[in-house]
Amino acid sequence: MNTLRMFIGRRGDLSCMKVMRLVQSYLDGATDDITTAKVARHLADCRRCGLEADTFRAIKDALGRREDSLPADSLERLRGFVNSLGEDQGGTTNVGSSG
Amino acid sequence: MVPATHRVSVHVMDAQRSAADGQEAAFARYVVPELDVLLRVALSITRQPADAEDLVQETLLRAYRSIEGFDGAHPRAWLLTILRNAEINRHRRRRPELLDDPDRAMDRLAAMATDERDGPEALVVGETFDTVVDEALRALPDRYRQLVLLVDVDGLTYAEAAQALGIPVGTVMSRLHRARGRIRTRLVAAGLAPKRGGL
Repeated sequence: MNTLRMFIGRRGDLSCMKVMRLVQSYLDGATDDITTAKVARHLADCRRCGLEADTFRAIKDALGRREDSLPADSLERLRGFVNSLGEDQGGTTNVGSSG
Repeated sequence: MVPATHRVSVHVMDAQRSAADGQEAAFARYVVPELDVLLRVALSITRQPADAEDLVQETLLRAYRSIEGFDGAHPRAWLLTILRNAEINRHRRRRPELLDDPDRAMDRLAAMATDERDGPEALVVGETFDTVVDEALRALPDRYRQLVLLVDVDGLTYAEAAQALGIPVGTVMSRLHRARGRIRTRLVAAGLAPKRGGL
């Protein structure tokens, strides 16, 4: 039964192999609605694939927690550069003002 | 009485001024709101804050010069393409020896950098999940690490990441799959994730 599901999947369901190919896109929210529902159903039903998905979800969460604050000084200098672009061309508008 | 040549030059200056105003309005509308994203992406690609700043500056300059030809659709995608081209140019200037096969060369560098800390002593007792993920990320070849950062840290879509790196969306998907697989392998080795079940 389980071996069958690994390669073929039950009627209307995805096989484990197919789910493993889709799981990254599924976790990234890049699958369509029908596929998302099918993958979710399989993951709820299949312990092995569910564990795999949990691991990849935890990796994605950990990456999302990485300290990624932008260097404020770089941002400041770049905003200054944006403003100087307008001045160099003789314009009057401060192009950085809306950002 | 104002000389004729002066009157003409005033008209030319007016025309230049209004073109510049249009250019700046478009720049403020399409480019300035993406400044944070551009710096984030540049940091993910270059790893060095100074290089990232240079890259964004070059991108802004190129965007400013070509904003008049931009149709206003998908400004982020447009900017990421400019950033990508600016990055290629930056590499060409700095490291011409890597032009033949940048991916392979970067892999070699990454391998050299990680070999030394790959021994068992690198596994410190009490390592947390996040620490191992972080280490695994740094050990990834450049082309994988950049992509993981763009998608998982910077929040780019597959299409945007493809644009920033100049690769097809299919390649984005397959590289992400492999990259996360490698991170998972490290977690399994550290006893922080279950082994894959027979597939």
